[in-house]
Amino acid sequence: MIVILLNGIVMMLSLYLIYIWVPPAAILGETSRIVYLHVPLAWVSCLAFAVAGIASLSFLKKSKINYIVYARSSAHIGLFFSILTVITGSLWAKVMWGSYWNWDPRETSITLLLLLYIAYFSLQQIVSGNPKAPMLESVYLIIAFVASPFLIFVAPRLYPTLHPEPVINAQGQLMLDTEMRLVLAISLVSFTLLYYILLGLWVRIYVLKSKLHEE
Amino acid sequence: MIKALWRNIQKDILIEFRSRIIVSIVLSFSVIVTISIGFATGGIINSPLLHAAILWIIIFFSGMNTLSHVFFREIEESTALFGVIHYPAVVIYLSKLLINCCVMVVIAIMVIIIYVFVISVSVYHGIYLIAILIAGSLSLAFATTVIGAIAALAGARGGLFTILAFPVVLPLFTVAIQSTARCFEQQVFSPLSAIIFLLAFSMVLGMVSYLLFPYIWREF
Repeated sequence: MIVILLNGIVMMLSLYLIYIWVPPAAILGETSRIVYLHVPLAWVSCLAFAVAGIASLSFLKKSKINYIVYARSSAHIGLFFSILTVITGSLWAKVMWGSYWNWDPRETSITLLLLLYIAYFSLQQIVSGNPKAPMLESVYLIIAFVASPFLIFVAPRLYPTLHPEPVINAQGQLMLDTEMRLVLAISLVSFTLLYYILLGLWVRIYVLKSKLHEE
Repeated sequence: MIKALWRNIQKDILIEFRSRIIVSIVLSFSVIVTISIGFATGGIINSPLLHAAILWIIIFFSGMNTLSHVFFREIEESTALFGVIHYPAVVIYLSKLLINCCVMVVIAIMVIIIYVFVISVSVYHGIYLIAILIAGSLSLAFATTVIGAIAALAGARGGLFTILAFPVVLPLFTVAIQSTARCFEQQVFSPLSAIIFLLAFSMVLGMVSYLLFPYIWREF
């Protein structure tokens, strides 16, 4: 309950800062405000994927079914957030580059993350009811988790991109004003808290569903 | 371990030699697709990038038809259990991986020969092209062998393997296509970064798959 309240306050604060307090970026103008939503959404998509991978690894090590419930829940949330990332990114691309889709390496990489989630859910559908399902799902999630840094961080950097320099770039410097940095940090915290709350809710739904199934 | 590995590889080669399923599937698939593209385009494609993309799509889908076959056969013929009783799971994984690596390299070489023969494409950097094809096909084998086992254990012969493998291999696919395209251009370039990326990708996924395979290949 405290976390939900805290998240409510931080989310309201970040919305105020994004839409009222922070000045628009020099070249990008008012459209730059979407960055405070787009970057945290992309961050949560990757975080959810990492959590799903780590939970799968824990499941393989300890054979506790709780971990696979966490992995499945995190993957569900990650799918939702990666869809939102693609939508916000496309809207911004339309304003900045003239079309919703530009085949930019970084634009494509988040879509590939989305494809990984879709592939995982296809596997989940096919193996449901199979006693080996948790094991197969876990191994696939770990393989996908290991492949994802190549997808998100390495491959897009091998080719020219339309995207602005990443927030944390090759020089290890933050290329943002102090105000923008602060707002982005608060937005990142609020979205991370939101992910934490959603994960808890999703796990509870899974547990209740399985209890109903048993009865 | 090496003896067990060799016995497993011998067994797989012997079975393939008797049935010739992989050879016939790959050969007919790659010839049909390449000839279809030749018919559709009149054998003239002007973009090196398009050549590279078509080439890797043929290699990928030829591979998808065969890479999971070694595991499906074990499950369908109920020999997986005997394999697990006689050999540690890692030996089975390594033998299938080596078979898949050989199959993928042969597919890549076969497809490029058919492609160059059917469609008029100028290769300016032949050695680089061979190096990229070998590195790319090895990466495909390393990345998809364990996924082939997952698809076989899921009991879904259809498109599941392709659906699961495609997003995982896309980074190597992108790099392989971009660097192959440069082999069809006159400008001098170095394929070193692409080859390092492909080999690093295969090493990382190969090691992870080696560690994970014993968890899924048991209790049949």
